[in-house]
Amino acid sequence: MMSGSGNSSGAASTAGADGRHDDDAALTELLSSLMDYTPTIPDELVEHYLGRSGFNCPDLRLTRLVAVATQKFISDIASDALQHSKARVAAPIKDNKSKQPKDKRLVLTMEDLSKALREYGVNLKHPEYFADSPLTGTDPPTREE
Amino acid sequence: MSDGGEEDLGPYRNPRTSASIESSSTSSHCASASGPDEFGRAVSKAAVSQILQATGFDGFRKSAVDALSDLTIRYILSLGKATSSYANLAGRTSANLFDLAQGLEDLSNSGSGSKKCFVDSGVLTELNRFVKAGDPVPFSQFVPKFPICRAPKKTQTMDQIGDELMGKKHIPGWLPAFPAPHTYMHTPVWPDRKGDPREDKIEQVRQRRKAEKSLLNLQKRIFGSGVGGFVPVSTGTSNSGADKGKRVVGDNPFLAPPLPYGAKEVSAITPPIEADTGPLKRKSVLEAFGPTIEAANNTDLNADIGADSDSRDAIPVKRPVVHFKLGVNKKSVALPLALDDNRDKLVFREDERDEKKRRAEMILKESMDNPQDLTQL
Repeated sequence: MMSGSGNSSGAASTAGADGRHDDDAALTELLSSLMDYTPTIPDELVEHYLGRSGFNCPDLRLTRLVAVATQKFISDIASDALQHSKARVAAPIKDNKSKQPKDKRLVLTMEDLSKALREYGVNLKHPEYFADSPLTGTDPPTREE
Repeated sequence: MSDGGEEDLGPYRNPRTSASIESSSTSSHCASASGPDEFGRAVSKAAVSQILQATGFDGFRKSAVDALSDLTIRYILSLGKATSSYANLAGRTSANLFDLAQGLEDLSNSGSGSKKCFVDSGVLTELNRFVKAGDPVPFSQFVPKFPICRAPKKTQTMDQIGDELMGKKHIPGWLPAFPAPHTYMHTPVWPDRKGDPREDKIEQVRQRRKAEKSLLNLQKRIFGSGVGGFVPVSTGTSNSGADKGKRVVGDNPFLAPPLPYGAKEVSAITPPIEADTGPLKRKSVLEAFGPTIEAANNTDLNADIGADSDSRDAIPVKRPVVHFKLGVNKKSVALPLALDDNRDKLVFREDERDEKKRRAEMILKESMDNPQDLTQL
């Protein structure tokens, strides 16, 4: 038993050693490729908000990595929303005389965005219309919530 | 594609992260920019819209972009917080790549859930793939380093102000200085006008001359039209009254602050000699002003300023009698309160003259008895 566990641990350790070597190579490759890639999110913005959250790192590559990660996150959400909007445009083919799916402009709406974000665990709900009276915001006691 | 965010990805996943994002998203996200973070939000909005454009959208709703930019900021903040907490857990204050990778895995949706070395997890490989695949779209505008920290305005210490401590040794010099006295006291303010004394004097004399000229014109008008003697004014003091009449308040030595007792040798006061004198002493105003009228008619009044001003400014050695009048400010047709009985004659003669002359006489009398009102002529 002990030998078996030792054996497996030994095997795991050797595998781990090889994996670490690969990991190092992957990491260095990633970091070097980062410097060529300029993320869309500017460095100053990322540095500002990282400073606000307590992230203290003088290394620019890490900042770039955060920017790239954020960009990937947003672009994933955007592509999901794009899929939803394309599906919406393509779906109703009741009357094919008015709608041309190919020419329709793809607009990001709150509906598509909330659908895409639901899969990421972000619950975004947008009120469809406001039913208040025009006196909203003038007199607190008379305003209906 | 990713699976549902609620699934448990193993013990390394922080379930609080997704829940916190959820709860904070459901709270109201204000559409209008507010607070000190406005610039950061604006920059993130621009960056997000660029990403959306690269993804393939033709347009977007403003509220959607606002929500997405807010989400971006929250993501960066959460990532930074997770990374720094992992670094602190390891006893470090500055984060490194491994902390960042662990934080990324916390926030990610990759469904590996493996217990292998985290570097080998799906996160970084996905990132790698992402970087290799897309062509970089750099941010379009220049973003300055923000927030800009202004150097705080240093208040001056006592030592810097100067030696105003005046022996207050109990106050250390490194304390901030006392406020300036003009902040809590009414201090005199001197006008910044550079005055030439000679110019000022010339201007004064010119104004006086103007007043006297108008007074003389008035008298000429009265005497020219009216026949008969004018009512004589108070006795014994007609000369000084005339002098007083000529003098304008601007340089009135009688309004100077009084000298202390004994500072100046003065003559004894001559009592008024009213009872004795008859009509001999009474001069008409025309006689009193005679030489002046002639002078005004012959010469130019504005010439010869220097000599005249000296003679006029001379304080009379002999102190004249001062007549106090009640109700001096009334500029009306009504009679001022008469303190001497010489005015009774005026009352009788009023019935004989017409209104205009009577008014002119009253004005003249008031002006001669009140030298300070001459400027109003």
